[in-house]
Amino acid sequence: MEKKLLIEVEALHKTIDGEHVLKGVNLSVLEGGLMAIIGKSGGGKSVLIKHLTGLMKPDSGRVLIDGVDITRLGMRELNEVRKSFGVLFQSGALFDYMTVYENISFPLRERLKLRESDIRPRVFEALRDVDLQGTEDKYPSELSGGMKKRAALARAIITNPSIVFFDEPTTGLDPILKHSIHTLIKDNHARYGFTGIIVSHEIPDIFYVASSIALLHDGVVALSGTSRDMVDSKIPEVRAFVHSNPNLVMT
Amino acid sequence: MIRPFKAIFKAIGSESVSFLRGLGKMGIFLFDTIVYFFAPPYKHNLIVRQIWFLGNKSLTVIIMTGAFAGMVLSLQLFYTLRKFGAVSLLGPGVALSLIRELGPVFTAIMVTGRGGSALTAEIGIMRISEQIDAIHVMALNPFNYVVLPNFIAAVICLPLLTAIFDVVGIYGGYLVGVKLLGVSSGVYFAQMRQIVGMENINLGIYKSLAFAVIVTWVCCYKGYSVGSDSTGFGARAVSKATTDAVVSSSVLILVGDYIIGSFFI
Repeated sequence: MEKKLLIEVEALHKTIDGEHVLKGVNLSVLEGGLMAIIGKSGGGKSVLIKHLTGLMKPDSGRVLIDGVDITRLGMRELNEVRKSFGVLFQSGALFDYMTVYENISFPLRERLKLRESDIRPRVFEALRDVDLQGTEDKYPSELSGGMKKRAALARAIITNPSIVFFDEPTTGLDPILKHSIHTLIKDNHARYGFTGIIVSHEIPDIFYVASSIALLHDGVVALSGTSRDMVDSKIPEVRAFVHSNPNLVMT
Repeated sequence: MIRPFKAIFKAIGSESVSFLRGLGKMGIFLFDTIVYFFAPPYKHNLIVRQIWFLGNKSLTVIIMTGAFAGMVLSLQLFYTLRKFGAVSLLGPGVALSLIRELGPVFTAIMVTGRGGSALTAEIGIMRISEQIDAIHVMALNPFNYVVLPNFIAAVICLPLLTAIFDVVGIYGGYLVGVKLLGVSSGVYFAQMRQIVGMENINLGIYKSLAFAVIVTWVCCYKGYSVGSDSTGFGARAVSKATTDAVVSSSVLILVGDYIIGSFFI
């Protein structure tokens, strides 16, 4: 059976403080796919993910989630769409006045309105999944960078969302932790089958995690395809980024 | 010849538009807060936490300032009233000044300095560390978690803190007037009940309720809107928002005091 397009971005434009950050981004993600959006720092990847999650409104263009243009929705309708989202923020965005347990249980308690007897086993299972047993009573300030990311990952996927956004999930982590986070994302994707978008500039690691890659360059998607397509591409911008050779852009 | 004038008008116009836009955003923020205030469910645990933070933690500073405000007032009034042979009005004078004006204003300014600034900083940090965005993408309304508990806590706490300030201030005035300056205890309290009256107590309560709205409105808005102007999105933006919140709240409290006072004169 052919998979449907779950996320579509059409001619997205955004100018922030006079800078034209997104210059007509086009993108599509198949249901169940795991797409990585790569590009240099400050290239608009996080701005794009803010549009995909409805946190920013574009100047023009559309963002379709399962056929619904979320750029035109009011708060109530947007929240209906967001019920299928899980988001791992770049900073983790754990609530610093709550413990790890309270953070991970927050969406279950507040959004799904589950009872404490149903919440507890799910939180402990999530903590086991991300290898954070024994940290449930700690506050985010007591955790290392990698532990914060894993706690945030557990919170992002605990409601079994159908779409998960990962905004630079491995930034600032050492190579071992990066590998562990990438493995967690891949394993959880295989287990739960969500559609995922990972914003990253971890080359080549991300090629082993994502099923498709899109390179955001100069405000547009320069190439979208598999990791093989990226490596074999003759487009200078793609080659420069993938092979980390800035001189290739000049030639 | 025209060019310098054009630049000046352009700068004035740009600043005016920016100022009006800011006012509009603040107005919408207040409107949203009031709308959500009448739309339960409320987050009771967060409200209790904020009552503890805004109320209980402000108690020491309110008692201290209340006592000294009453003592200073009593000292100044005593020497003025003595010139007119009206020392018997010392108690009612202290009570009236505290209940009508000083109690609500001082309490609101103290809560702004101690609790309001912390609110702005906390909400500002939540904003720059994407915690507010995290609530948004969970399909929840951040107002219910970040703004409303503070709003409700302030509406509960400020009248109570004002009452404590007034009572402590009256006894501070008693200490100076009766124990230090030799006014009779009976004289100090004798006419207080007749002269102060319920309408003045009500006015104090109205003022403290209005100031509760002003403090939470301004402080929460400043924190919530960190990063929405040219100050950037980092620690400096939070620091500027905190300063702005304290200054704006204090000015608005005094403006509000005059406006409410002029209606109930």
